[in-house]
Amino acid sequence: MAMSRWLTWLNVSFPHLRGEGFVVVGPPSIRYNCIAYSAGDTGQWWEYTPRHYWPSYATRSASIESLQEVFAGLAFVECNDGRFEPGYQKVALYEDNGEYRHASIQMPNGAWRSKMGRGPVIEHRNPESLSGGPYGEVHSFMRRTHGAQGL
Amino acid sequence: MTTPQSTSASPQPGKRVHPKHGGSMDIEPADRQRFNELADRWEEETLFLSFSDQAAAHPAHHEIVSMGTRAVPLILERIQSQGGHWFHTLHEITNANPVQPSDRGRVEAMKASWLEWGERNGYV
Repeated sequence: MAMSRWLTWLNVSFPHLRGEGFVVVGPPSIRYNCIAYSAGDTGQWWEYTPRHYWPSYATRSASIESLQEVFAGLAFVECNDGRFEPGYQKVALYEDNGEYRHASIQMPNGAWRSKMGRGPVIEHRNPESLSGGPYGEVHSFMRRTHGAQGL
Repeated sequence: MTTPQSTSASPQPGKRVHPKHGGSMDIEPADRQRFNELADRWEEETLFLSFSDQAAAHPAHHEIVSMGTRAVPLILERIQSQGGHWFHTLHEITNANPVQPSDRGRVEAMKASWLEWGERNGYV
């Protein structure tokens, strides 16, 4: 799909992005998704279904708790909000009707990055920029100290 | 919503019938056109979704699945030329799962496994 097409589709799908702005920082790729990207893996598609990669320590389920297990295994612990805290890296987890839909990760400069499904990686100002669309709402935040790796 | 074009259950003279899936190997132009329309729509409208169950709930996906094994060679052809995440669809239609556990999530390896499966089973 041409870039102009998916940029239009991005603006249509995520109403808050239009007003708050975003920057494309990585090309579309079918090799990895938002969960993989937030976990630091651009080599495979992380998904709970039996046909995809899912870490062995986490329950294979669409529940938001299952996604929290994934990031807990990567040394993230639940925290109150997505405010920038020097020395910490945060993830925002999104859900709709009890099922996880997306994950975003905070950069050292405080901005957030999201791999948009099979689409591009974008940088956006805050996690809520992606709420109200197919990702539902931000459910929770987790954080780890910079450099922590987990299991 | 348009219903996919159907083909006769009995093969027309001159068409090969595969012994395993019993379908005609020749692809009807109407099937190809309908599939391409549905596939383009499905890939565009699910571009930003991060897991296959959510993408599979799209109406265009339901229509592709309802084409049954007639869609399989078209999907494999599309995977070969354009790539894409068609693994859920192929599994739903065929109930096959040719991807080795160690390759799950590795899209290029998954693609290769399905293409090899398609060749073995007369779809490619």
